[in-house]
Amino acid sequence: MDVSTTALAQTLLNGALLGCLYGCIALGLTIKWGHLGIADFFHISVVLLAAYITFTLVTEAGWHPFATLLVTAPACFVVGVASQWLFTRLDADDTTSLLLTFGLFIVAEGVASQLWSADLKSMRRDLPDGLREAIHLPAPLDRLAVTPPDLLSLVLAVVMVGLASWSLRFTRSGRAVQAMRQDQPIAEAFGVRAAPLALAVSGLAALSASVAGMAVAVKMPLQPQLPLHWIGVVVVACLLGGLGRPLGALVAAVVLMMLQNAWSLWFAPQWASAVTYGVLVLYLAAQPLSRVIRERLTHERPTRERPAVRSLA
Amino acid sequence: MRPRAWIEPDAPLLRRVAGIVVVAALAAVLVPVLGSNYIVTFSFQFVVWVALALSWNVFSGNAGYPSFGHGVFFGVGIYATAAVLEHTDAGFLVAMLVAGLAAGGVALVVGLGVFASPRFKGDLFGLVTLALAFVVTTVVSNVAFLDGGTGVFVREHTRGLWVGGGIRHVFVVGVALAALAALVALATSRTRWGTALRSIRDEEAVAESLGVPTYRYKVLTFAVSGALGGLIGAPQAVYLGYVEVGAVFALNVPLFVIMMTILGGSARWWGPAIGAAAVVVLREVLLGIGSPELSQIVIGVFLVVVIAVLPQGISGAFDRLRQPGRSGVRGASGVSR
Amino acid sequence: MSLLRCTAVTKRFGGLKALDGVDLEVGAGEIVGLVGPNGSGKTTLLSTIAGSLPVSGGRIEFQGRDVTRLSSHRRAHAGIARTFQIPRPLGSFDVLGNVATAAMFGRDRVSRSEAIERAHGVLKRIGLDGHAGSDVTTLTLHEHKFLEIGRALALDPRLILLDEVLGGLNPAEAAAGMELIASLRDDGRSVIYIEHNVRAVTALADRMYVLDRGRNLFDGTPTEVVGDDRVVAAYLGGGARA
Repeated sequence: MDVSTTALAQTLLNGALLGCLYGCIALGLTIKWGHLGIADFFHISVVLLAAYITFTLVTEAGWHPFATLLVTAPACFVVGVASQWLFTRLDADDTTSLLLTFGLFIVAEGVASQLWSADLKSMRRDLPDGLREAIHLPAPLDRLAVTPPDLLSLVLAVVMVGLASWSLRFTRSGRAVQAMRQDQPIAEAFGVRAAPLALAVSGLAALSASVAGMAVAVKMPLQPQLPLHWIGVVVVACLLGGLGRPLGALVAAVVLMMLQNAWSLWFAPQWASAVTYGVLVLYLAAQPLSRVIRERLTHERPTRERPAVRSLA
Repeated sequence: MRPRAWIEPDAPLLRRVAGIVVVAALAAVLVPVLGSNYIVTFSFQFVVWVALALSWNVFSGNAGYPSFGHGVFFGVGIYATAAVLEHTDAGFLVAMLVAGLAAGGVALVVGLGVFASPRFKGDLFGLVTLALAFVVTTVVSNVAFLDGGTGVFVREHTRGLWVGGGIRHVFVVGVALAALAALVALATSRTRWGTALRSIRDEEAVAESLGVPTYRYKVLTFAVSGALGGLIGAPQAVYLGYVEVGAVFALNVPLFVIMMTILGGSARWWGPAIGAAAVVVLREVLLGIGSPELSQIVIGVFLVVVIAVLPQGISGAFDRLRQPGRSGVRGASGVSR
Repeated sequence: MSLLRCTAVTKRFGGLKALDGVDLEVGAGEIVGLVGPNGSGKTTLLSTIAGSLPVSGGRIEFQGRDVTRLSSHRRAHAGIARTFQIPRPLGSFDVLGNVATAAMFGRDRVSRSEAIERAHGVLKRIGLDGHAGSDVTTLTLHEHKFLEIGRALALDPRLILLDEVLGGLNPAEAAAGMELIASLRDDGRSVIYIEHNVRAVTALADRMYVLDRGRNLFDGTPTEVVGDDRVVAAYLGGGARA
C-alpha cells in the first residue's frame, strides 16, 4: 500500500496533537506518582468528570468552554486535596493506594453513567464558531490542517507542562517537593512541611485535570468508559517519560500517538492499541536499568550508618 | 499483622484436607439434588469466585504481590476452553486441562520476565499485570481462531457433552475446582512452600539471605495461581454459553477478586472464601436494585470503605476477637519491652 | 588456603563508586574486623559478599570457588550468612519461626521438625529461648540484634558477616554480644565483623581491614591498625567528627 507524504504528515500531526491531549491528562498523574508516590488512576476519572461538567455548562447554560474552568478548577482542586488527605489518613502503602484509586475509579465511572447516561455526548454544535473550523497551516505546509480543539490541546499542554516543569525546577516549593521525594525526614529537618505541601501538590495536580477535561470535552464526544481507553496510554507515557517528569510524559505521549497513528496507516488498525504496550515491553526489556525507573522502584532502604560513636566499654 | 506460631502439628493439616474433601463432596451431591435452578446457579457463581479468590491468594496474598491480572488467567481459561470445544472433538476434561495449562503458561512467561527484576513489586507489579489484561484482550479480539471480535457460542459445542447437561453438572465441576484451590491454599499455609512465600512477603532480601530461592518460588507459585485461575475458566465458559471479550476480560474480575481477599483477609488461608461469600451476596443484592450504574457505585464505595475500616479483613478481625488483649497478656508475662 | 578472597571488588551506584577495587581475604576460623569512617563502603562490601548487591567489577571466591555471580540464596547454601545493620525480622513469624526458617532453607535442606529442633538450640545459645513464641515486635534492640545473629547461625554457615551487631547496645549487652561473637570462632566459623567503633573490633579481631572512601586504606593486626597514622587521619577527617 502506498501512502502519500501528505497523508503521512497529516497522520503524524494528528497523532502528535492527540498526544498533547494525553500529555495534559498524564501531567497530574505523573506528578502525583512521581512526587507523592501514588499511582492515582482516579485522576483520569476526574478528567472525565470535569469534561462532563464542562459539557453540561456549555450545552445547558450556554457558557463559553473556557469560562467553565471557573467552576471545574476549584472543584477539582478540592477533590485533589480531599483524596490526598484520605491517602495520608489511611497511611496506605502503594498497593493499597492503587486499590483505593481503583475503587474511586469505578465509582466515578458509575457516577458518570448515572448522571450523564452511557450515550455519547458531544457538544460540537454548541461550540463557538472559532473552535469549529479547521485551520490550514501557512504556505509551505498548506496541505496540512489542524482543528481548533487540537490546537487548544497543544497550547494547553505546552502551557501546563511548561509551568509544572518550571515550578518544579525553579521555585522554592518545587524544589521542596523534589527534596521530599528523595528523603522526607531530611527534607522535614530543613523545614519542608511535608503534609500541607503534599495536599497542595495533589490539589494542583487535580486542578490540571479540570483543564485537561475542558480540552477533552471540546475535542471528543464523552462517554463513561473513556478513562478505561486512556489509562494504558497515560500510564505508559508516565513510565516512559520518567515518573514525576511532566515534560517526559508529554514527549512520550506525543511519540506514542504518532507511532500508533502511523501504524494504522500500514497495518491492521485494530492492533494499533497494542503499539503502546509493545513499546512498553520493548522499553522494559531493552533497558531494565533505566535510571528513572530505578529511582522509583528501588525501595531498598538507604543504608544509614549509625552517626554516633558509642563507647562499648 | 499478628504473627502466628510457626509450628503447627501435622494432624490438623490432615484433618483439614479431609474436611475440604468432605464438604466439597457433600456440596456436589446435595446442592444439585435439593436446590432449585436458582440456588444451583447462585452456588455455582459462589464456588467460582471462591476458587478465584483462593487461587489469587495463593500467590498474591501469600507473597505480597497483589496482581491485577487474575482476570486474565480466568479469561485465558475461558477462551482456551471455548477454542478446544469449538475446533476439536476433544472432551471437556481435555479442554479444562488445556485451559489450566494455557493460563499457567501465560503466568509462567510473565513471571519469568517480571520477577527477574527486583523493581517490579508493589504498584508496578500491579500495573504490569494490569497491562497484561489489555495486551491479552487485544490479542484475543484480533485472532480469529480464538474470537476475532465475534464472540464464541460455546453452547453449540457442549450439547452432546456431559458437562453441557445443565447447571447442575457445571456446578459439580466448579465445586471440584474450588476444592482443588482450597487444597492448594492449604498447602501454602503451613508448609515449606508457605514459609518461603511469607518470608518473601515480609522481607524479600532477608528471605534470600536465609537461603530461600525467592525467584523460583515466585515464578512457580505465580504459575500455579494462574493455572488454577485458568482451570476455573473452563466451567465458566460452559456456564456462560456465549463468550465475548468485553465481558470475559472486564476489569471488575481482578477487582472483585482483590476485594474478596481484602474483605476476607489473607492472614488465614480460608479468608478469601469468606470474602467471596460477602461479595457474591452483595452482587446478588445489587442485582435487585436493577441499576448497573448504581451497583457499580456501591461496589466501589464498598471497596474504599473496606480498605479504610478493615485493613486485615474479616479473618484478621476474627483473630482479634478470638484473642483479645493477646499482646497485653504477653506484656504481663515478663517480656521486657 | 583462605576461605574467602575478594579481588578488586568494585561497586558503582550511578556515577558514585562505593567500592573501588577492594581486596579482602578471610582465613578459616578467623575473625576479621572491617572498619572505616561513615560512607567508606563497609556495608556495601558486606552486601556484595553476601550477594545482596551485584558487583560492578572484581571477583569473589569462597572456598576456592568463584561465587561472584551467584545469587544470595546460593551463597547462603554455600555457607555465607549475614546480618542486617538495622534488624529486619520476618514479621509474619514468631521468634522461633524466624530462626527455623533459616534452618529449613539453610545449608542442608532439613525437614520442618528438624528445623524447629535446630532453632531451639540456636535460641538457647543466643539467650532468647524464653521468647520462642514471642511476636518479633516485642523484642528489645539487643534481642533484635541477637536474633539477627541467631538467624545467621541457624544457616550453619562457614562465614558470618556481622554488620554493627553491637551498635546501640549498653555495655552489659555489648559484652554478652562480644562473647557470642568470640564463641563463633570457637565453632570453627569465620567472621567478618563491621563496627563503626574501632575499639570494639580491636578487642575481638584477629586481623583488621580499614576502608576509606571505597578503597583499602590499611590492613594488619589490631595493634598495627590502631598505631597507624593514616587510619587515625581517616577517622579524624571523617567519622570522629560525628
